[in-house]
Amino acid sequence: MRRTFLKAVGLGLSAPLAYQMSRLAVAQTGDRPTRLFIMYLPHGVPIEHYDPGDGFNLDASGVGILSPLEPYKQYLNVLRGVSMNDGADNHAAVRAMLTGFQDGKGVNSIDFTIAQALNTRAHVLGVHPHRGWGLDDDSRVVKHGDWVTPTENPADAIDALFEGLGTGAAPTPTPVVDEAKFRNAALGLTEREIEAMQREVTGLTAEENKLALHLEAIRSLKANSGGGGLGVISCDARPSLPSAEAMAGKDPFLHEHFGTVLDGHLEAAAHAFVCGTARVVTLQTMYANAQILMNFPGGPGLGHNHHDPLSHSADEAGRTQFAQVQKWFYSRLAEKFLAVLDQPDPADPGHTVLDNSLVMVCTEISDGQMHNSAANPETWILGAPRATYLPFVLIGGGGGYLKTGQFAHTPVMHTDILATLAAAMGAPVTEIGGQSVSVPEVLKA
Amino acid sequence: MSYGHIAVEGHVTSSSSGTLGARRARWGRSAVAACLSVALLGCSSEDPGGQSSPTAPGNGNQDTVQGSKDATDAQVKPAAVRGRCETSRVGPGLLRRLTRTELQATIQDVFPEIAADWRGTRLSADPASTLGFSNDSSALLVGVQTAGEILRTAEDVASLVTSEGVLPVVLPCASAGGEACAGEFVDQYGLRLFRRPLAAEERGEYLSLFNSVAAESDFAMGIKWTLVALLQSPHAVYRSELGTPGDGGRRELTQHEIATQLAYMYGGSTPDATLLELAASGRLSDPAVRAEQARRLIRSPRGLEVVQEFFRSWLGYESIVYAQRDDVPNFSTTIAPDLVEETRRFVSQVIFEEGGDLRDLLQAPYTMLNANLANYYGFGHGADTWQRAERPWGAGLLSQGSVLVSTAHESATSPTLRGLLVYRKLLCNDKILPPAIVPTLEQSAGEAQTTRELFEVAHLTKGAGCDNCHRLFDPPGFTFEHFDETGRYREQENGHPIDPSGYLPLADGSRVELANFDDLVAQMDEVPQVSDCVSGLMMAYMFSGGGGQVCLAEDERAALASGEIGIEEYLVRLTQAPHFTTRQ
Repeated sequence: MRRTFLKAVGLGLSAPLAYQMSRLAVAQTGDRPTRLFIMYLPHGVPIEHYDPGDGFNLDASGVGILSPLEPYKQYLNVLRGVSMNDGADNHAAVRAMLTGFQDGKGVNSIDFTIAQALNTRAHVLGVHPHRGWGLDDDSRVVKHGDWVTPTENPADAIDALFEGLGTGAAPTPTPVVDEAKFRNAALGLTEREIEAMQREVTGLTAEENKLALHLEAIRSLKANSGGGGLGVISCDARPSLPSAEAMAGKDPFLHEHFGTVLDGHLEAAAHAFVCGTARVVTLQTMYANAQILMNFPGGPGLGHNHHDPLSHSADEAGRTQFAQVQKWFYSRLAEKFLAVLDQPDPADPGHTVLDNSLVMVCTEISDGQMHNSAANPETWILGAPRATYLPFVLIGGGGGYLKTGQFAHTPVMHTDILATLAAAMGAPVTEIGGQSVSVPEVLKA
Repeated sequence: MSYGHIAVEGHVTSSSSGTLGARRARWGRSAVAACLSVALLGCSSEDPGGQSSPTAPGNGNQDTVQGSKDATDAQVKPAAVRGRCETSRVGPGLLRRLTRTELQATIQDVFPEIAADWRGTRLSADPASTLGFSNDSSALLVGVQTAGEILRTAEDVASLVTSEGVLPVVLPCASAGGEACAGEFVDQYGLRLFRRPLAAEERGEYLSLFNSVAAESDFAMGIKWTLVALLQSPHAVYRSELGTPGDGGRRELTQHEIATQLAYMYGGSTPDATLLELAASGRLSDPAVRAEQARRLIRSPRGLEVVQEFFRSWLGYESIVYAQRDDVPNFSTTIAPDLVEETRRFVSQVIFEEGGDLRDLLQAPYTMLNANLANYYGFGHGADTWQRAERPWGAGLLSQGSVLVSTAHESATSPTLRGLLVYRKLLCNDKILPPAIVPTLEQSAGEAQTTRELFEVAHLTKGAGCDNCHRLFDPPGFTFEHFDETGRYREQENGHPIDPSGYLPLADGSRVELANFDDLVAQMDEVPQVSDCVSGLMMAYMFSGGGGQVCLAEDERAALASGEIGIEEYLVRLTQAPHFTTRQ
């Protein structure tokens, strides 16, 4: 690795790029370079504006929440019939959504599981992902040993998403010392200290658990000290990220910045996927019960709160407004993220980045007004019975693993969908939290 | 961090824009079904609020459990934190992770040389416990994210400390280099970061790390990674409250553990030279010395912030800086920051300038205003500087503009949110979960002319089922109705007279009738449940959750409740409680 590094520097490559190239020697090869993007959007959908019907027409239903995805229809799997596992229901299901179990008991979220298996880092970004004072039960979505507070400002997320890539400025002339070894030595000392401390707290169950979690975290840092990407970086420098960079020094929780923060995160994650500097990213958009007005600049233009009254609307007008809001989020995903991925994959030129990616859009409840998280073939909405289900949308080929372009009937627990993510990413699981899981056959290519 | 907000946020809808007469909607079948489901199921509630039982490991992330499902009226369930005991107890030994604020302060105090260039800690916001505090030791864990953030913080700091202009200042012998100089660094900064002298074996480990790194690079690099290891060490990251074994299963905290507890509890940062010296000389066993140090530290800038943070967490009013108000353009930037500052200064005035107690906090007939707020409220002096102003309406903490705004919606008040403030934060009753399906208020509008009437029809109509829970908190909320959603007084609402009467339901099933808001705050002084609740919350906050144990300072709580001492003295006297020096 050192020899490759010095050779790369000798060839005139910038030190950071040379350093990344030197890691190609230990990079994963063979399988297609898959990426995973999970987007959480709370409060369900009004099904009458969402369901594409057996004809798989994204515009079929009312407002057509999924219609912004029309250009990528061939990559879509709109899933019908999924129920939340473990009886998790109502907004409390937010904690089960990526872990599979109520309150994520003893289970990490699937992004972490996949990232660990791939020896990469799971990035977690957030758009108003919690109330101003911090993480609480409504905002616990991602769990990496403990619940994760997402990076709120996209300008702050850039450093981690593009780790190893400079800004394009001239490299410093001083020799670069590989400090990764020193970092690991420091982590090793910390590891030993925690192990010694564990002996001091024998009998204090809570403290034992605390230190066990800490120890596992330190060991995880040691194991993943190589970075968070594909191992193949295709960019010489960080790309221009206007929305993300526009947030530098600004408060991401200010209402007027909501749209810019969302765009910034989508833009940064997409380009990080293209550059190969990130491979697993979760975007937590708001939180359960989020009372955020949807009239921020560049937004859906509705002066009502997302949760209530919008998602709680029982009347036609209100449900239509809610549908318009959810449609707007899909439009930003399409414009700022999917459009970027729809280009030849530098790491696999025979396919696009979207071919090699898997995007999952998920939410913790089905119908915003009924608050159900289990599939129900007959939910009364506006005076008529409709089938409701936990709305999952998968976008992307998953490196060829998935059959796409379908409205797939998947009457399964959502843990099987989490298993599908893992399988597509080349990190298959047969159980989650002790419960057997499998990929629905209809999703396999 | 008001869980009262979270319990019903969004499940109590405000009137959206427009008059009540314009907000009518048909009562859908689902709405009726919703309230009937509540009637059948009763109110579900969480486990005793916010504190795990002493027998169970403390865990701020408590599960929500469903309570009784019979059809009887909802039972008021007191939170454990409010509980009083005959004698004080001690909690379990524990390791308390530094909060983001504490870590920031620690690094600033230990390495003032990097102040100009350091961007601050990389830690994300600390998780809130079920009581709403972000310093609960059971919630402050180190998972992968936090460990990574601590590591990045350590690397940032270490890079700055070992930079060319700083290292010679921090470590004068650095120009000579060598292991002896590295040893000086480990001794000096190990003591500050671990808050105790390092043991010989520990020192050896760090010097071994230094030597291995320096051998492959240079002295500065060796010091850098030695410092990274010191900063992310569990001995630095956690405040130890384990103690050493004593008689009867009890563990006595060491002098340095007591110094650490004093430093962070009252000063929000690492022990200073005075405390370290007192610890080294064994003088912190003396209760008078502890009290003296607590008094010194609580009046420091960081100590004052520790107290302010309690109020911000308890009442959650700082969230208004993100609020909007239909009738006040640019509310979040032109008014909200001053409302937050008003409350900050009010708390400081009551507690520190006037030595006030709980009664003063709730009934003070004044507030603190600047010219902007004097103009906003329509009373006061109009001077540019902040000054005390006597109130023509309202009293105490609950009529602070920040509190009133944080318990209202953009264009309407919410008796439910304000009632829950009283129910949860002043009476410490359990959080009540709303049912899954809650109809919007518009569907219940009918002929209601005022917000109170709207809520009475929607929530308290007999037979609809919603009253099962709402009768517990809407009635005290009605007493706030003369204060609108902007935090200002209104004589009437949309031309209609306001009825500010209500009642206060108590844990024993009785209720206290209230004529208006002034009656509410006066009556709360008479209700032991209030002083028990607030003193219990303050105690839980100061002791960072106490490892799940309640009743940690019963003599001190009694003195506060009786009016014998003010709030500042109560906080200082926690140093006299057995839990301050002992664990089990």
